[in-house]
Amino acid sequence: MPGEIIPIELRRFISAHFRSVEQLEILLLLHGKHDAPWSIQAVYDVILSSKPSVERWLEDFVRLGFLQKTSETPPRYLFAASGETASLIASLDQLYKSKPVRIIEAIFQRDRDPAQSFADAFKIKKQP
Amino acid sequence: MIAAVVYLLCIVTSLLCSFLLWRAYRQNRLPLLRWSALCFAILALANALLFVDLIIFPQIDLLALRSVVTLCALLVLLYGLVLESN
Amino acid sequence: MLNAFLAGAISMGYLTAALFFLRFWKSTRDRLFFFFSAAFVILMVERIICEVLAIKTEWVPLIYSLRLGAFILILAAIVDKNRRH
Repeated sequence: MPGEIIPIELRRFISAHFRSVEQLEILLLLHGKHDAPWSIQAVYDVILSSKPSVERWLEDFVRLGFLQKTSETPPRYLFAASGETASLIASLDQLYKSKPVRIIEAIFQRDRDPAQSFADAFKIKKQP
Repeated sequence: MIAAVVYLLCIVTSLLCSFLLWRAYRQNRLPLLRWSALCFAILALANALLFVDLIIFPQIDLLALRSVVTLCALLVLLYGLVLESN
Repeated sequence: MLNAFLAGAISMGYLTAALFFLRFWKSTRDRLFFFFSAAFVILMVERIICEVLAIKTEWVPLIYSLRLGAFILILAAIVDKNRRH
């Protein structure tokens, strides 16, 4: 079970904010190299998904306070999380390097499906 | 008398659903569960109003108020279903 | 007038929710949604009957037995869910 390897706080953090591996890779890229701000193009050159989706996740992370927009035209982004969030992202980074499959599983866990979770909510005994 | 028991059962069932959904919401933070929990809580309120209407104050007609409350419960649920179910 | 409008809106609301539950039943194959869907259809029927027969109170056996049926279905869904696992 992913739960045995990933601490519960980290699991909640993942299920609250992550929906794709692309998004995870983007955040960890900016977390890893946070000495200078990143442009969308620079992030895209590493991630190679699509520029609009890279931009969308970057903006999403800015909204969450994980990144900071250091300039508007052209937009540049810098890792900006602090405190508990920063340490969660640091442990996420570490675990993703050592056990990537577990992290990916956590992103796509069954409880990400709202319909299934709705049904599972009616199980009176708590899940292990 | 039977009606009173029935509507009491409706209140209890709605509250149970609301509690279970809220408990699950606290675990996985999926918005659909929050809206559904809220919907069942409001449905419990609507059923409680029915109880008040029929048993405690039979002289006052709360039908319109009860309908508005029920409609609110459904709108909350539909909001969750439409926006947060995929 | 107002009550008729509200009854119509509520019926539509129950029906829409029932259809969503039906879709969830198809996507997850979890029977719980079938029970929920059926319960919400009954609640819709109850509202319509109430309005069409101009029943002013829920004190009528026809109405409270429908309501009872719907909530028993929801309880049955929960019991069934817990017996399966």
